[in-house]
Amino acid sequence: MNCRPAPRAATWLLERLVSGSRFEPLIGDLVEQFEEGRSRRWYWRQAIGALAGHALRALRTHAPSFIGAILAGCVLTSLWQLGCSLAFQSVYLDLAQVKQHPWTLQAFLRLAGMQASMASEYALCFTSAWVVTRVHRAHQHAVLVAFVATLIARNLPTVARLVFDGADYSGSAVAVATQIILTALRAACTLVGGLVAIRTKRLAEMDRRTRFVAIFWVAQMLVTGLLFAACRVGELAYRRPAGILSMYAAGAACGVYLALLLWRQSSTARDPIHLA
Amino acid sequence: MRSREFLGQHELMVMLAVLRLGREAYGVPIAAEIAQRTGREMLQGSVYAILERLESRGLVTSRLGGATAQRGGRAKRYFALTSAGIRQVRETQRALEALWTGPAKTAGAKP
Repeated sequence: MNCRPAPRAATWLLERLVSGSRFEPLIGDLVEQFEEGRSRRWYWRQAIGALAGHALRALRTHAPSFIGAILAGCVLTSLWQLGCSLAFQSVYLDLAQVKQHPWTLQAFLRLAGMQASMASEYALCFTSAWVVTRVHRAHQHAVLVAFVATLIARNLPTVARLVFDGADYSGSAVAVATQIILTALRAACTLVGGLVAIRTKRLAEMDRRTRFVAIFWVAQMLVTGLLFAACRVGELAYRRPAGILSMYAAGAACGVYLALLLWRQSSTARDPIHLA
Repeated sequence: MRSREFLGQHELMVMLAVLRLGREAYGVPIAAEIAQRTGREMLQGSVYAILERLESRGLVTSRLGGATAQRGGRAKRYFALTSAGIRQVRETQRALEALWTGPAKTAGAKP
């Protein structure tokens, strides 16, 4: 008889990495045998074997739609970004001239344009995550994580180029930090969007903490976006980018925390087993 | 194609273990029965994967039992062969015996 509990990490992996509750009887079997004297090593070997087998079977069955979902998300992201850059490129032209006359209609239009540009970025994150989780419904969490990883990987060459070109100019550290923080922010937005899409839940249905974090996050991002646009268009001097950057970094951290809260809720409320 | 209906080695072993155990056939005794009779230890996850495949083919049915504290509050999943499953086991046995009789039986014998 084992006095210690079964390895929690292995059980957690089995519970979380498999969609649905298919592994419940298996975990019960493993716990039963562990209680009867099997070793922790045996437990881990069984858990890893079960997960590997599940992953291989899932790959064989669902690989086409899994890859299709990620490709659909990437194509949508690219087309959307291309469209946005064409639609909003005039907003960012000749900002130095606009800065000289900040209280004009043109300056306000630029400010509104920048807000719209940022809103379209967030909308893209939510839409692409929604598309990805709808194209591949069998493993929605897994495909969402894979899509976010793909988005991060897409930005890595840009970060690497900035790091390697860093010696050429003084603002390289700021440029690298900006790129990393914006990538993290996009990843967090996509994760949150995907988790909301997986378990369509209204704000009122969320628990208090999640609701508070969600409202705080949206408000924080709105204020940061407005401040950033005002710095570029208005009289506020853009001399201390670290201030704005730290606000974006806080936004990214808040987004990741919200994603974790939503993930925990969506993984604990999975459907029960349906047997024939 | 009839040849596709024959069971694989592991499938046959799991089905025979379920048949032997009767109403007490769930993951732990099935794996133990196979280990005891054949000397081959199968991963618990593989046993479930095979049983799920057999269930999707209509050869096995399952039901959930009660949850016990010894299993961390998790239910047992009991398995039983369907009539199609029993028929399939017999067909496989007949096919193997037909192949085993005659020259094949003496071919592996020690001189």
